[in-house]
Amino acid sequence: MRPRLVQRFSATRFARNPLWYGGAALVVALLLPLVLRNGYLMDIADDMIIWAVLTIGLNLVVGFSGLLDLGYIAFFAIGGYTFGILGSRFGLSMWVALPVSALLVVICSVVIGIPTLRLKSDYLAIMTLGFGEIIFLTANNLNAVTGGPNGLYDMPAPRLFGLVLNEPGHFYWFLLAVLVAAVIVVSRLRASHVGRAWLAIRQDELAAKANGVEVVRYKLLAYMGGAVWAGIIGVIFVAKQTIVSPTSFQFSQSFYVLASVIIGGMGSVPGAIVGGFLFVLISESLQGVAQTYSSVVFSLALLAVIVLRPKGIWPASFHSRLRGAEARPRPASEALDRLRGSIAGSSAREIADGQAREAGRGGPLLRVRDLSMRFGGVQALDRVSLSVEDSEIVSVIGPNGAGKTTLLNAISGFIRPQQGAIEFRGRSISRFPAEARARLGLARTFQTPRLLSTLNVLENVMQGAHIGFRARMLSAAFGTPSQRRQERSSRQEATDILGVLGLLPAAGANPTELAYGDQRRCEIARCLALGPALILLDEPAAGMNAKETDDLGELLLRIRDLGVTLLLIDHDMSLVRKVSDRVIALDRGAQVAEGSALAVLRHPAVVQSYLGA
Amino acid sequence: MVQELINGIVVGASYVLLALGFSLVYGLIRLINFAQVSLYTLGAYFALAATPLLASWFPGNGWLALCLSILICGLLTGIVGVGVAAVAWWPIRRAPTISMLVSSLAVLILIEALIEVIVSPLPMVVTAPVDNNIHEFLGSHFSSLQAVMLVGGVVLTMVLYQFIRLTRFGRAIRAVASNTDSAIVLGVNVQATVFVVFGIAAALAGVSGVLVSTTYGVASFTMGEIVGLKGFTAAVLGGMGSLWGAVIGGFTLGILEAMSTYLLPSQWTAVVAFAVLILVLAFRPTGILRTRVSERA
Repeated sequence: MRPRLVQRFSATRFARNPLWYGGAALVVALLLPLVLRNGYLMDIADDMIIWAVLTIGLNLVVGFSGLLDLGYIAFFAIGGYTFGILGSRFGLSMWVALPVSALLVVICSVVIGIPTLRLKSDYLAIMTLGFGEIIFLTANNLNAVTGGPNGLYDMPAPRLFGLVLNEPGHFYWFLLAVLVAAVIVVSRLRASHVGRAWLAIRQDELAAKANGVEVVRYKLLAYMGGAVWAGIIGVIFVAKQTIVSPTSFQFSQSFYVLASVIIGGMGSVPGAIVGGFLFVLISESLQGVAQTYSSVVFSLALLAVIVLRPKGIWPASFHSRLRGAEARPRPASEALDRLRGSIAGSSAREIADGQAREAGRGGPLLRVRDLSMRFGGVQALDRVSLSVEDSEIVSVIGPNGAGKTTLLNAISGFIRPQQGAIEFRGRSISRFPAEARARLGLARTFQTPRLLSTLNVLENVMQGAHIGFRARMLSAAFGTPSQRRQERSSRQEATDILGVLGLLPAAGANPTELAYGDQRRCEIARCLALGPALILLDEPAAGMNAKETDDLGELLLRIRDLGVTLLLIDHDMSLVRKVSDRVIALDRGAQVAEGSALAVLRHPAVVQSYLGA
Repeated sequence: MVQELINGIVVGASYVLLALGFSLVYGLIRLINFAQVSLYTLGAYFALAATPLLASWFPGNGWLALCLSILICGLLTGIVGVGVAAVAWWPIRRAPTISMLVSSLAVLILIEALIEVIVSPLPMVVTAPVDNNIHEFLGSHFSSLQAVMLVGGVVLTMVLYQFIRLTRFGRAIRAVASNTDSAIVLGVNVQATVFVVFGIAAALAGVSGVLVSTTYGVASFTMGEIVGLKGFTAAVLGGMGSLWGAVIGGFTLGILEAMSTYLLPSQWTAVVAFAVLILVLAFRPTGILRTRVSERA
């Protein structure tokens, strides 16, 4: 039982706003040097901040995007040696080294990232490990440039507002400013479409692709975005140390940053600060007593956290939003009207309309011709042709193994059929990857819902709106007005969609904890956020009871009225009969019947395929 | 030229053993087992204690002592490898891959740190209890220990190949590697298989560590880091998940490295391995043998 005063305090708005806690911590941090007045302690405080910035940077790579970077310290080293070389050999100041280092780090991350990020993510671990070793070897052996094992010194002390920074205490406020900047920028990124895309990639690359996220590009952005912090803080670290030597950049250092990220909490910014602080505090307290024990302690701590508390000391919250971006629920009819407008004017529609005009052809929305797909000995699709007109609801039925899901995967770009052509709005998309098809307004749901447990329901829907965001990573990082506007309108739109689908009460929930039927509706909501022309629905009624299926039918009809075309596959004949303008029956990969629901369900070939010959 | 070829093939044998271990575990559970690297180091340190002890038990018969030491140290690291699986894989076998990668990395650091704390942070001199004669071959030279290293690597590879091809356990490994679910249905004890494969991979790494430290006369607690990277490169170069890929990749990398000493001082050989890794991943990520998911082990 907590004391009443604490209870009353925690109920206030003040207590629920994390900004106040952050502000209070900042005030304490600002006043710290006045209390400590001790060079040694200030040095430790500086190291804590440096390490926290490193941890925040790596957290962006590992925690947000799930990319295991084992050579992160190499970027720190590049920063350090940039200043070391520019400072000791050319007498240039830290302020010159900072942008140069950031540029070098970006170039290196592109060179390492582009060949590796296309591959399975574990290869990145090895590549980055190798990169870290190479940078270390270079620092240690290239004596003419790096000074070898002795390192470089004699760099000019940086000046700030006429003050020469040459004591740990002088660097403290400057470092604190960098830490605050890192926290703000990284939190903003997390709360933007970029952060949502990263979290989607970390948890489920397929879902990210279905939402139109260019996976490789966003992985590269994350790898680069994390590296920049190490490059910047490396310069300042060396300016503070007044010497740069290879021992600061050994492989074990990369491991320690990684351990700080995971012990603090993957994907959590406050967790990264806690993890970073803890690392420095513990290794400082082991200093002298038994310094070599610190690697034993940290590896054991890391193992313990992974096994016993995988989310870390301060787990990431799955709510996040920019300040002032709250949305108010609107009455259902108004929400519906707005949704109609936003779907009609969505960017996917604009792109696709432009292309349709260029192609200069009318015709059906989707046309599939002679699609064939063979898996080993199974002919999953056998020269299937079909077309779907604008604002139609078409159902594809057939017994298990008829090739329905294969057809859907081929249309949405998740598998490459061996033969056949797919045209969407008069343009061939057969060679487009899944995310490019999504960008043209081709949305899909999955047989087993693929929702992200690292985002709440509302943000899952906003992730679906990814392709509507025009802002780049930098404007998301700095929170430019246009980015904020877009974030606000996207949040409002997602709220409208949830209102129309009756999911508003669940907006703040973890989607994977919803009832199965609600999860399916949440996936449909995510599709609507994309501003689609066509939604492919993979067994939307599976696992629903009769009442829920009936409601789903109503919902699908309402979505069609918004001007969205639907192609669904399902086993539930009551749903198929209720919504379909047209039904296509498949059996063993081949099309056996097409026409109105009634006619197809009575077609002898269909009856036979369901009941057996 | 012939001299570089000999050096490269001998060093390649140690990469083959490491690459086999990486490939076996990866083929089975799609995990890059970083802990492997520390077991290589551990093998060398076991030998540091075991070889002189055995040599004192069999005075005048240094070769017997050395061979026994290789076997015993391989066995010991194998047992430690099973323990590693129990700590770093078993409790989190259903967690995302990234957690498994990090936990095996934590084991790597832990074992290295324990060696540093318990034995010494300084490099150790390893003396072999045998006369290390120099032999001449086509105008080039090789030592007896280099010959042992090459023969050891080749014999171990053949034994492993026959084990996987002929024994019941080998069949279980192949079954799990090609389709875990079907293997379960067929009654294969998947977990036991994974434990044993961790053990085999660890033993291979341990033997590799013993051979390298004995042949070159030195061991240090970080000796595995660069070599581990090279062993992994060898596995990728040959084709990850394939045994013959590991063999081809290991020898190819060893020879490439030895040849590179024409161009670069020897402390830069890691750069060569890394460049090979980048090029392979960029242009032919399936390796020389073009391994596909369905064709493993």
